[in-house]
Amino acid sequence: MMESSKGFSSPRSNGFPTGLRVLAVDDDSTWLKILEKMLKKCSYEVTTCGLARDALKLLRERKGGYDIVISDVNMPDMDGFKLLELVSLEMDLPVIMMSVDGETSRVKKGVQHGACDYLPKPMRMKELRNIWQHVFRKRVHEIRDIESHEGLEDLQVTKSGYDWLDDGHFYRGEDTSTPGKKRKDLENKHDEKDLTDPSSSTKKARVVWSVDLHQKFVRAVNQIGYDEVGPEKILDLMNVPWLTRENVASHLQKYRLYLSRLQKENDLRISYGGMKHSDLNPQDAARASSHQNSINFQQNDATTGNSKFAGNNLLIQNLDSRGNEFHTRGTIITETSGPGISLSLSTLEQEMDFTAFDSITPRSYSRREIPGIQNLRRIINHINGFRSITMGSNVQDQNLPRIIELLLAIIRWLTLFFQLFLFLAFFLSLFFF
Amino acid sequence: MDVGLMQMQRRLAEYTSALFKEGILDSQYVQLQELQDESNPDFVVEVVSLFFTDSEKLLNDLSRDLAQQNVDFKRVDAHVHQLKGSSSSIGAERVKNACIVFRNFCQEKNIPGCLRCLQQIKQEFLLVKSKLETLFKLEQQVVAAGGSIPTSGSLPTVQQPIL
Repeated sequence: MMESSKGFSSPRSNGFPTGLRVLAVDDDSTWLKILEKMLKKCSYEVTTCGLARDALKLLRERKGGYDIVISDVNMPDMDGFKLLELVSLEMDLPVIMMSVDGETSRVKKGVQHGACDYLPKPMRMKELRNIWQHVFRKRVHEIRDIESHEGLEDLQVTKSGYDWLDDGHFYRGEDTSTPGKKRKDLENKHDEKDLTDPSSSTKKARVVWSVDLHQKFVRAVNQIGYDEVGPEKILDLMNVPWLTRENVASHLQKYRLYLSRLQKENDLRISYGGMKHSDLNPQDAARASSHQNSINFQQNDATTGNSKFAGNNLLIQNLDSRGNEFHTRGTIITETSGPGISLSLSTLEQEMDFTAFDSITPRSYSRREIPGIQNLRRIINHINGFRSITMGSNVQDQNLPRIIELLLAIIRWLTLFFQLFLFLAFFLSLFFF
Repeated sequence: MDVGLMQMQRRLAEYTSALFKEGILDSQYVQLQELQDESNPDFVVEVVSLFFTDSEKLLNDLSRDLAQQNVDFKRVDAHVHQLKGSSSSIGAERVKNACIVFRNFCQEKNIPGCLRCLQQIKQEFLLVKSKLETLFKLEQQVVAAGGSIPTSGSLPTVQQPIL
């Protein structure tokens, strides 16, 4: 008499908890026999298993065929804790651990791996009689979670229009997909440091999306293909056991919003870059256009890269009228959420240092320096104009030039010191020869 | 024959209570007795037989493992752990206690200590085996004579047949 649904109704008409379907797993045949007898006496329906893999096979074959699993910790073919994890994640069933060893550390480990109870052997019949409460508790929490989520779901469905919300939540009887909701209790058990707090299962634990985790996520998304992506596929690829579908779904939504924002800004930048071409020399335009592709490329790289921030390449070309060409590599302006800007002028600085070495006399160097500074000013104007269009805020215009002026001043002083150093070197060489 | 039955029952009761007093059996055995009912009248005997079979095998494995050149203490510990579990299932208290001592020696990797312990376990095991076998014989006699086996409490009461 196996019902496919996991509802409150039991095969027998006496009602819950009579007829509770228990799967008992223990490699000790003596204990298995005793357990079977004890559970039968509690009017439960018992199936026994001597091996963990047989138990898993039974569970997978008959999805929804069991209400609760009771298993020994020490088993020859598979670690009891591993079985425990698999069962509570894959089948989302309450699992009770048993062991001769009743040490606190073991009990803790059991609970950490998701056990809803830990019975030290030898156990009494009255302890077994009470195991139905774990099944009951899970049901109650599921109902509560569904009710609390219903309001949220309506909002999300209309906003995003994605269909990844409608599976699982309303089909409680099915085990084919594992709804994130059912995993919530388990997730909370993992996330909560305080194991003794029984009310923790209703609290929502925050998942911190670390860099590594996000990388995995992005990799999974790219593997699946951005168009076909869905939380479950991502979850499978990511292979992070404690992560729930809910977490992935909400993160995916944020990610989509972020990408669409990037795309908008990218379009804006391309159009701006086209405008600015007229200001630069014709030679620049050619070079700049070839690097426009790099902007798009960089865009894609950023999404798969480490940082969550937009990476944009702005090519800055400088031509000296004396034929002293400063070929600068692109400076990367990273947009942060804050007002700060990190402008790497170090590349420019390097170029100028090279010219300093080339010079024979300091005087000729200083002549070259001035055009360099002029070019820098041009760069700053570019950047300012650029930022004012994209950011659209005036406040930052005031701060940025100041910072850049400061940097310029530093560079100026550095070059002066360099001049002095060269002077000294020149004199010393004269002195020694 | 009633007198004979009464005598048998008394003997059975005394024997059983002695087992409890000596610590050979503990309250788990009582649990087993309570589990026995009409649907399963030989439950206790079946379980105990299973225990004997499993334990004998475990003891042989232990002897073999300890006789090795390089003793694999993890394996030995696993066996003892299993034996401890089995003995606790039927309430063979002394065997269980001996197993606990064995595990300590095992953790210290003390081979002579382990061997001594093994001997102790074997002794206790044989003792509980013979005692239980005698107990079952007595029970069989009582049942054959028309009486019933007392099941409740650590000190089984003698059921007086109605005269």
